[in-house]
Amino acid sequence: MGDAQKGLLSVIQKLKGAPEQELRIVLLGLDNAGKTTLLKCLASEEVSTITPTQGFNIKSVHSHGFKLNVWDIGGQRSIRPYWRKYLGSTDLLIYVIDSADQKRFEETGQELAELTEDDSLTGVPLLVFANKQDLVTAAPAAEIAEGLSLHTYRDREWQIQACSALSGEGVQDGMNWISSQIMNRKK
Amino acid sequence: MAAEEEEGDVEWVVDTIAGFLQGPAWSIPILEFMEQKCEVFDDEEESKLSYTEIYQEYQALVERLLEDHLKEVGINEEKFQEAFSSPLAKTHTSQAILQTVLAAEDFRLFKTMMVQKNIEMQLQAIRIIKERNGVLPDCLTEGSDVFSEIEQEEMKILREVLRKSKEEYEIEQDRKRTEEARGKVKSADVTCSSPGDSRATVQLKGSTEGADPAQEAPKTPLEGSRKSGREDLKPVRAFHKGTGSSAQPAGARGTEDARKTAPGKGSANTAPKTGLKGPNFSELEEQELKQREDYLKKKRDLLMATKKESRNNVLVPPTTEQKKEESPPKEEMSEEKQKLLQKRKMLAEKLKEEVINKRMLETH
Repeated sequence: MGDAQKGLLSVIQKLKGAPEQELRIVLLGLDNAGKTTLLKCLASEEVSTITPTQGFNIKSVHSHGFKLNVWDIGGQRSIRPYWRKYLGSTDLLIYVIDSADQKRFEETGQELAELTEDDSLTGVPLLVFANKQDLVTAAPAAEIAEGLSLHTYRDREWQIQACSALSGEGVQDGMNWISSQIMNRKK
Repeated sequence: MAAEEEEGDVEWVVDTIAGFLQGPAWSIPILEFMEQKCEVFDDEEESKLSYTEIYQEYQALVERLLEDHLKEVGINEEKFQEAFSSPLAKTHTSQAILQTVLAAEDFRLFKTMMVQKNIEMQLQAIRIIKERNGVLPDCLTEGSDVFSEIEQEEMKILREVLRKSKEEYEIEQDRKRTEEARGKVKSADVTCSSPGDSRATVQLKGSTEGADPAQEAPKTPLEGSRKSGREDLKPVRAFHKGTGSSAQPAGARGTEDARKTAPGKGSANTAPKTGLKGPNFSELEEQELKQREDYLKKKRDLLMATKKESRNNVLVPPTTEQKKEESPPKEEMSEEKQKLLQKRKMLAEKLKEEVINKRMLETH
């Protein structure tokens, strides 16, 4: 999309009369990480009947006077090449990890590393959810952060948050971090 | 003063764009796009990856249309921005007008629009099928939850009625055939003098070939001829007369007569059908007609021979002629039904094909 169109259409967009400012958040991670469950949790919806996502889901979450449009895109290997199509004008990236799936820590780390190299995500804040903490085999967030070498991510704000999308535990803490990021950026 | 002028300028820009968005230069390409691409959009909560590609195409289309128009009317981007940032833009436009533009910036609005269009088009298709056929073909009802059991029941009844009517028609045909055999002697005269109905119908064929509403009517006498050669000697001869003299003036009157002969329902039903089918159909029909003509010529020769024979043998009661003059309309009615049945079968086949193709495309 050219900048010209952004100009033309965004002007008309303002006529929609939405008082809130909208932000675009992309929710990524391997298959079975719990992205859609997290999305539904954020939108306060029922999380019991979730099937693997073949395409993508979008939901709006209202937080601190902002409208967060959250895009959850399927994480199966065959779909991952499509991720980059959804990265344009992203304000914040949420990356979800199945903390109990130790066998795939390396794979998920590689995917994240590749993602953050994408030009569209330069400087975009990153929130990692160490999901499935309700499982006894779940690795603690600090261990995962180390495995992902998060400390090497220097050109962006990042945060890792342990959570259980199923129970909702820790999710709100993550959202609070997101809000603080947005507020900081506004200043 | 300057401020007033500026306001007038802004107003003009906004009104120009609003006018453009309501005109055909905008709505036709947008609608065309939606109709072509809406097929994959269902109202599942989860979106398909393919929606994104279509959405991007839509964004490009909207961008192009808007830019082209701005260039055409000489509004530069600054003026446009200024105009649409002013409060005037809100009062001079409505959400309805802007929806198609906003959809280019709002995927969910776009998806809603496309899902709606898809449902609209499906309903339209179903309505057209119903209008054409009177009933829905099996392929659209079996395994579908759209149609209630009551409707299915109704269709069963309709099918039964059609079957019965066909049976009755055949019995009637048999009865006539035996009657005809008795009436053969006089029939040479009858053929020539049989005035009104059949001849009018056939002349109509000659003069309004390919005209939509009448398509079915002229076919019927010939169709009948093929099935039972005997009594159709009459229409065939009349047919030759009709084309031979190509009686143009008789056309109008002929149409009226034909309508009376093949009563209201038949022609009224066929009007939209043939209208939609277009010229291909009449070409096909012409071919068929020729084949039938040839076939009937042979039959006629055979019949002439039989008649000569029977004329020598049988004497006919005078009442037969009366009866014969009454029978053609009745017969055409049932022919009409026959014809309809055939057409329905064809349509159902076609539909089945289309639906199957569609499904195959969708699964790929």
